[in-house]
Amino acid sequence: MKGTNILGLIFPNINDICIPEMTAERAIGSVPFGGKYRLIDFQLSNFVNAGIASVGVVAEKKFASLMDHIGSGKAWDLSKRRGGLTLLSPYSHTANSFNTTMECLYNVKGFIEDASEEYVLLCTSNTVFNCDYSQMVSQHLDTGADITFMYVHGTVPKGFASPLVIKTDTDNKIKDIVMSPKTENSGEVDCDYICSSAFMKKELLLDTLDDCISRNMLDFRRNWILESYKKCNVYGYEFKGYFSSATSLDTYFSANMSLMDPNVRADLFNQDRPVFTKVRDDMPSKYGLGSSVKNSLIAQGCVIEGEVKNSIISKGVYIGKGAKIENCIIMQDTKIGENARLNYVVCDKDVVIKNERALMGYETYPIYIAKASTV
Amino acid sequence: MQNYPKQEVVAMLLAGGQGSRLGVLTNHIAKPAVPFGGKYRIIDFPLSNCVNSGINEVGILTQYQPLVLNEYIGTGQPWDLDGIFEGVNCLSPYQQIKGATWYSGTANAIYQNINYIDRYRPEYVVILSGDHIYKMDYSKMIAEHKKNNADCTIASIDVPLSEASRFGILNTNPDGSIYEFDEKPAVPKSTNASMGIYVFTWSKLRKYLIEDEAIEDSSHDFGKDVLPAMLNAGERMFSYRFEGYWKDVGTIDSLWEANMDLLDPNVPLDLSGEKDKIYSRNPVMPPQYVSDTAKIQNSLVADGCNIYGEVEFSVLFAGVTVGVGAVVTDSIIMPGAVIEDNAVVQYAIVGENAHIESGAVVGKRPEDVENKDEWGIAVVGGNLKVGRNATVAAKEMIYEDVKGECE
Repeated sequence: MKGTNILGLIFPNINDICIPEMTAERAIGSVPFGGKYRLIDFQLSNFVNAGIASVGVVAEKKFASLMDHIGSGKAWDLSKRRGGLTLLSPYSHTANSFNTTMECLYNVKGFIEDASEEYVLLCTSNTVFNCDYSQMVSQHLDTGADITFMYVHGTVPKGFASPLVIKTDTDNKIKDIVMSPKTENSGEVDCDYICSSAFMKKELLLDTLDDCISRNMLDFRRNWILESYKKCNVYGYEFKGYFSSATSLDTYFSANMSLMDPNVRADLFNQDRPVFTKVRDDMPSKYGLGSSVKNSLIAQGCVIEGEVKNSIISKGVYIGKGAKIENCIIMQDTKIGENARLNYVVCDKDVVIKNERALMGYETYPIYIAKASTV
Repeated sequence: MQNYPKQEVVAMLLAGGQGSRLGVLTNHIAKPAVPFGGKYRIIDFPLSNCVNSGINEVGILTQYQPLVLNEYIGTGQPWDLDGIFEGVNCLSPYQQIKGATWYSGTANAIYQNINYIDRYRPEYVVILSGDHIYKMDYSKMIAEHKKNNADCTIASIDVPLSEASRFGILNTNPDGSIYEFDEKPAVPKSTNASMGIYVFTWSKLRKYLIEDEAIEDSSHDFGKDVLPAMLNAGERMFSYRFEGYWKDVGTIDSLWEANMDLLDPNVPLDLSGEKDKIYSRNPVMPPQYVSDTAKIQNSLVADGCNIYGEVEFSVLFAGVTVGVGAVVTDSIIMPGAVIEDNAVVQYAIVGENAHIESGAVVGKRPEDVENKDEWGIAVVGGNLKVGRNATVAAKEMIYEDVKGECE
């Protein structure tokens, strides 16, 4: 099936609570990642690389930064006459009932109904992976499933909000779904957990929505996913490529750092399925005389005069002479003064670190410096 | 009939020339599409200058190898030139009732597009060329043109006396009005050189273009025919002095120098700030990766590069790979080129997607060449391969694969 028969729906606010530091002013979907991306870029790119040309971004709150990022959708080729990208801002028929994913979906029911596509693909946005959705769709059609959930095999990442652990039989049919089981949730046992995406017919989604809302069952996970396999044919699709998710500050940190691995970059930045993002017309990065950069990812528009090691340096960052940056994530347009020393620090956008300052966190507890602060 | 909104100024960008002095670099692309400065193409400079000067209608005259250029310009969206009624248009020669002709000269190219310009009913037309690197606010020049009540204003720059005979020299009266053109004079009277940037009052230019077209032995060139005709007829022609960085990148040496100028903090060409930004199409690539074994000094590096070797005083475009132990110095490496392990590239330009295999040596340092006349920038054409341990001499231009050992 062509992607043109699929409506993509992304929820940029699900899992906002995972990294409260960074989501105070933004949805988790617009949290910067990997030097030049926002988390939502990976799902959006997966969509368009699968030929999905109609995408709704179901925003719940704090979406100013997200709107600025996605704009008309042009950067993903989603600025179109037919379909394209639509940001569905929250509104409510009733006074104050707008708290859950279920209600969010219900309130954009009109958009879903009007879409000409026969299928829907629902996704969270705090995940980092490059997948070929057409394989998941093929499996869905081959198995005759009503719903297919994407899952990964491994330990549940720390901070993963209410993981849904599944048991499947040999042909991937789901036999059991459990939310936050104690042993698997410890992060020490390998298991199969639903990671990000669900695929089904649009009609099924709409019927389920109506049914749940009319019974006041407003919890998407408990009232729907947990019950789904009892009512219809539910299958799992195992994603086997590189997968990481930002579920806490330290998994966010380690996911960023995993990009230093050339195999991870080859998988995630697969040339056949490029990762698109909003561009800024930065000049190429400038490395000064006496600068030193080791094992780091550097975006464009940076000026590097100091030393950088094992770090991610985003667009437009300035690193002064004599500064030493190690194991850090420095987000866009941050300025680091001369002789400053940072180790295990996550600097949000537009931060100013003055000359001679020293900050040090630890691998499992990186220090976070909020957007636009001055140290 | 569609009524196009009136534009006070329309810019016409001459981008049809072959740029034969750039040799293999313009084998398959027009000169304005040659990559520059780590992520740009030359045409980004005049195009961005236009939008930064408030000119919203730009015609690009194409003729030689237009595929890459047309694709690059596209709808003009990166420069905000994709409006509903205004924006950028690529204008190639076309068949007409009276037959089909190529653009036979710069003036003829504009002549053939009089209809295009007339649609916008402009007061002024700015003529630009696609082979100069500079930042300029054309609106200031147009204001000067208006103040002088001029028919033609020519931008000029002060050049060293020793180089003045390479340029068209404008000899002016104290009020800036031009009394003489001196094309490449053996003994220059002044150092006021034309930059090839003209502002014309459209009604005047239109008349002279039509008159010039009727002259059979005319070469239909602005510098040789139209401007002298206007001067002889006593039209008001002024020189507009430009202060700032400007470089003609029509030769390998000047292209290399202009790239190197970006690495020199004393050169007044700043591409970093928000103001007067140079816009371009951006590669869809991840950030550059710099490994533990890499060493980068005083260089520009674009997205998508993977650096494992040593890079000094060089400009690396998007998606370049420099292998372990490879050394790149004083060079320009164009998009997607691969410099394999232990290869050496010095004082060279390596074309797009070229492949320098391990142990190969491209170019030579000037201090290693005895006869300085034999020294120059080495150039490897795009998509070519320089084999294992092969050598490319200084000043050499490579048009075909160079075989390495064991081949």
